[in-house]
Amino acid sequence: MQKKFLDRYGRTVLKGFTSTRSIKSNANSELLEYSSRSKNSSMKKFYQASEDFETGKFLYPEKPVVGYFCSLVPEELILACNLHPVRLCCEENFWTQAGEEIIPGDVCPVVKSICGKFYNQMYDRFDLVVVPGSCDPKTKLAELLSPLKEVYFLDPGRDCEYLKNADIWEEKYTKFFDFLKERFHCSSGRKHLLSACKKTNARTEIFRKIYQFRTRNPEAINSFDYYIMIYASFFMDIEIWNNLAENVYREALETREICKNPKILLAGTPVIFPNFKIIDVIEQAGLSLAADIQCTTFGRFYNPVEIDEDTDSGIIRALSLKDIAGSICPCLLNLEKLVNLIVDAVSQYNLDGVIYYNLRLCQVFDIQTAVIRQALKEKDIPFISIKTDLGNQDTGQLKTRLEAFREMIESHRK
Amino acid sequence: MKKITMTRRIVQVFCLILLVYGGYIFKEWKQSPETEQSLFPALKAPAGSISITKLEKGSILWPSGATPVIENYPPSLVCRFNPKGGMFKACILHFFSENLTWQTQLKYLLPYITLFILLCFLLGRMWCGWVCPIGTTGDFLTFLRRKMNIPVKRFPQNFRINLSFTGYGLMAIALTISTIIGMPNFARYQCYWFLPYCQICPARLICPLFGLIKPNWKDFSTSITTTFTILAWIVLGLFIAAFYFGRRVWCHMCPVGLINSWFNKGAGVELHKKSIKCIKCGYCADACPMGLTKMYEMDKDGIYNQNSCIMCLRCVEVCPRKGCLSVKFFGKGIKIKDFFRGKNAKKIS
Repeated sequence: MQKKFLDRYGRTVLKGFTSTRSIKSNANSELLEYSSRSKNSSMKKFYQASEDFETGKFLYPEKPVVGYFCSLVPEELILACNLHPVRLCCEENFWTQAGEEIIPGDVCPVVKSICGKFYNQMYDRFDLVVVPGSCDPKTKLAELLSPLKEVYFLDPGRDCEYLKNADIWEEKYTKFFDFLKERFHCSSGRKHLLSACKKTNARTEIFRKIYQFRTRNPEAINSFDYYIMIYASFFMDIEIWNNLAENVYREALETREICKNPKILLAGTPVIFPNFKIIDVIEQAGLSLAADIQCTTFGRFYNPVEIDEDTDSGIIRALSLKDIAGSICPCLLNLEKLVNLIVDAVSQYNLDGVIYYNLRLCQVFDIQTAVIRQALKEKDIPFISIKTDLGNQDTGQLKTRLEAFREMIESHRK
Repeated sequence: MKKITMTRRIVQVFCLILLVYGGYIFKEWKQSPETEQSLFPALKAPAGSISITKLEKGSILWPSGATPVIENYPPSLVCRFNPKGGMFKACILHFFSENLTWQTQLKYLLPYITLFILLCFLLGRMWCGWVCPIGTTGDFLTFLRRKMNIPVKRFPQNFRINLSFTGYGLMAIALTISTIIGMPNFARYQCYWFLPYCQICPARLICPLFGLIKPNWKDFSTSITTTFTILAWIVLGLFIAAFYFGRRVWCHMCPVGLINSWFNKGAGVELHKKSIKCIKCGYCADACPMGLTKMYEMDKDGIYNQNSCIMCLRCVEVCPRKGCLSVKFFGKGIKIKDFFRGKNAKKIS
């Protein structure tokens, strides 16, 4: 019923929509610029892979491709079915403008850019798109995309309290896994799940090394490299990514640069290529981005899957705990956890301040700013909240604000 | 498998071998395998006790005529029904039941009780999680279930609390019966009611199997022994079901474990939580074989030892945040470096 309805009206929306595909986004020129700044020669492959993905050339292994959004979708289940998972989160001004033709008005820019990409046939080769019900725009996105693609809506709920919800999560993930098995005609079981978890755990291990290395020496792998690595993990084969990241880490270990700039922690909205405005400004203002607490980086990679019961349901439960209970998504009830994480990271890694990055029109990030500000004020940690959009108009103003913040940190140090 | 669990499994198997077959080794070492003398001062039944004469006849209580090497009662469950050559005499519940019936003077009991309390305060209920041979057997059943890909049954909190009340109830009944049959007026019942808990304990049927000796499955000679036999079967069935479908559900009602649990708070092994590190991921609560949630719920820093905890340290092991949950021995940190399975883990931390 719903499907028919959406097919009919979604197609009507599509009819009056002109493709902007002939105009090229400037993502690739930005990539070139960032790769020229990189000091790490092993990073080249990541830049190459990102360029390939942007131009649509990227060759996936000969598997069906499943797109997904958010850390709340268990990547391991997709991997276990011998599919290729691609995370489709996108923050690009170019595609936001394209998406505005479908969703005009004050709507989340991420959803706009995703819609822009989808309605311009950028993701045609995807067999299935998994959309979680993490926030309101994502929920509606599932309906907007369903005329174009087969969409699976995975709603984990908004409460990440383990005691109340663990069984519900397990049930929902099991249903998702059963759906995948039926849709792609595979009979995956414990063995496949375990090997998928092994892969993601290896990735977690490498990520932890890089994360902890960067807290001590943020210049060796600069923040552009770091975020390009994260971006590459969205679509690259996981084992290839692990090997490349390991190379990057090894090369970084050899360089010994002492970081003189104040080290800061970036929290809030995830930074996704090509929206690197914020880290560009941070660098220009003479600050070093040494650690971050965001859903694409820390939230996605930091926790390993801890398999306690190695039965089918036990592994799926472990995945749900990792992805939902351990999540730092602001849509869930976990503000205390986020504040604790920030305070702990600042004291553990000797950081000098916290920047809370806030993408305009993402309300959940905005709402919790006040609480975080107050909590950090009590702990005497310098804090600045930055609210901006995907455009480049306010770069100068942001730079001035961050320079003032650096001076504040330096006076605070004394 | 990770470090702590690996160590625990090795310790468990080692303790199982020591407690069940240790007697064989140490008897040889004593050079006089025939002597009944123990390495430790032995408690003796009063001369002409009916309980003993009954035992010599060969009741369901005495299938193999085991003689312990060390006449002592450690805090983990060791059984008198171990095959010939058991290392220790019996469990602490056996000790109380036996001596209440025999009406042994307190001064003879004190050394045993003191030693028991000392051992308990040293390791708390670690005896249950790391040493107990019956627990090891049960863990093996759990392992079998996992291999057969059957999901674990998670019992609700209330059920588990009620299980411990059942355990206390059984213990109270057993001790009361033991006291009553110790009185001269009721001494003639000793032949049926001696060691009442032992008669239904699953260890009575399981322990002889370790030495490939046939346990005394049934005794239908009188109505009382018939009742005890059937009860023992039911309890054995519950035991196997509890370990097979749940994890350590049985340990909530094991009377020996319950006695141990009194010493858990304040034991030498302390479990610490630093709540600022906690990300409420629920790994610890999900992995706990006893189904405890205090380590997850606790919002302040400090020790979270609980009565029901068997100190398997699984929560410490699975915690993804280094330094959140930790184990200390008398407040002194045990150095277990980054639990994460990195080869370069040392370099990082």
